Amino acid sequence: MNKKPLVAISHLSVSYHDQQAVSDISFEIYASDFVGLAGPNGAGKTTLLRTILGLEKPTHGSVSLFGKDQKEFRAWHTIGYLPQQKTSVNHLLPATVEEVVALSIPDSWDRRTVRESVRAVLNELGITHLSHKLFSTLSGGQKQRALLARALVTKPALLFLDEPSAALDPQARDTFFALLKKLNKEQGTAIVLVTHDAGYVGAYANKLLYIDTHLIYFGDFAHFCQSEQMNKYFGPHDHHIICHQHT
Amino acid sequence: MDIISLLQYDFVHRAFLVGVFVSIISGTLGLFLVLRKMSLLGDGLAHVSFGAVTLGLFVGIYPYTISIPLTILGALLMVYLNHKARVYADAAIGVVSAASIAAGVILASKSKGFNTDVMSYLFGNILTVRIDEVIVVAVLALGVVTVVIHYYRVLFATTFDEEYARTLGIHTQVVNAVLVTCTALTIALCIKVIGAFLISSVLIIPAVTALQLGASFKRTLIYSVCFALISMIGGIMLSLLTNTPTGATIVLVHVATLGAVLTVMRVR
Repeated sequence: MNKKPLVAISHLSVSYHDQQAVSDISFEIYASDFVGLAGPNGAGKTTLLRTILGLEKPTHGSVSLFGKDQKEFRAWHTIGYLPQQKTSVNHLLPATVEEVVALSIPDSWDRRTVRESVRAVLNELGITHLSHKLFSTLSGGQKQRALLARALVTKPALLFLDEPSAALDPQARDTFFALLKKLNKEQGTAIVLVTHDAGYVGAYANKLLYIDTHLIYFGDFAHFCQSEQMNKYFGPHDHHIICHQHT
Repeated sequence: MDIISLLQYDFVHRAFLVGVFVSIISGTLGLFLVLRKMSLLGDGLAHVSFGAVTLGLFVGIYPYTISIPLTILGALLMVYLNHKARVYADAAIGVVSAASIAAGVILASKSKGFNTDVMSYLFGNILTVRIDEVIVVAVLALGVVTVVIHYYRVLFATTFDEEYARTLGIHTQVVNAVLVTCTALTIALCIKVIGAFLISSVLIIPAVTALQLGASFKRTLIYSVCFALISMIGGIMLSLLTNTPTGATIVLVHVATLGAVLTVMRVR
């Protein structure tokens, strides 16, 4: 493949107090990839994501972003991130949705572009009516959309989402995933979505990254579903559960 | 004596001027401290500053020369204990502030003749500030406002969601260090004006008052400075009219403003 990977992970290991959370994982993510990052509880999914984003330090191996070593990478606005709902957001802070969304925009952008970008992303996500509301007063689903707007406002080439559907009802979840699919198809945004529900994400993702501390599978979702080896590893029932929604 | 006659005195002009500058600083920094659950930092640093001032008086050095670096050092030690030694922030503040005040008390007990000076730092007196002290506080206010305007997004992002701010490439530990250093400087320079016992309330109350209004972050920041200014000027005037201790009167006017806003918001 001639294209340059957006993310290149090489022999990555992460440990906490001698406990290995991620062990010797390597993979590459390219533009237009929609990757479902799945695995059982405690498999290291969130740790892997946080290490790519620079929130955790690798014990071994390397992380490269847009062709640059992570330590030298500066264009963080080209990466969008939607953390889990139960994150470090300060709910005491009286910020409007507009203010929350704008905080992802680098200082180098002029005021007019900032205003227009915020307006555009709120409009795209159908939450323009919430722009002057305080973030702390929103419902779970509205907060999720506001945080997605925060992740998308700079039109990132790469988007990481950590269990994004946890706070959504089934209908809102379908709408949310359809929106991600649209971003992936129409704008070529590469998406990495952490989920414990690999079956559901199979309806949208074209690649699967399955880990259980170490790498179990990385490649085309379709290939995973046809793989006899994977069928044997997971057993026919679990393999079917993961694959039944993939088209 | 009426307020018009009092306004003709230079010491009153200096008191109002320094009061305005202290309010700009306290209204601005206070909001970040309250929202970052660092309200007690002001109290802890006031104790550090008190200990440092006592040390300065004990060894016969101009107190600011020693209190500024030691208060900054105390602030950074609190951050270090919190981040590196895994001590909870409130416990870290408690350890450093208790050690400082204990050292201050011992030094005061071993000294002869500077207890009156120590009292002036404990309770402060805005009416005795000199013009050079006004200038120093004005420069500090200018510095704090410049830092907040220039790094507004960085400060806002770190206060709203520190972890997410790190994914934007923001060095949040540097932001925290800058914030506590600004607070330490403010405490060290303003302790004589407001007093070690009262300065933290001047930092906290305007922010808490502004937060009751439920406005956007930018507006809350502006309201916080406005409430600090109103309470400071009102407090100085009331103290002049009623001949009550200025620092304590300023604090009580701050509390009264908070009470008034809480009542209005409840009625609405």
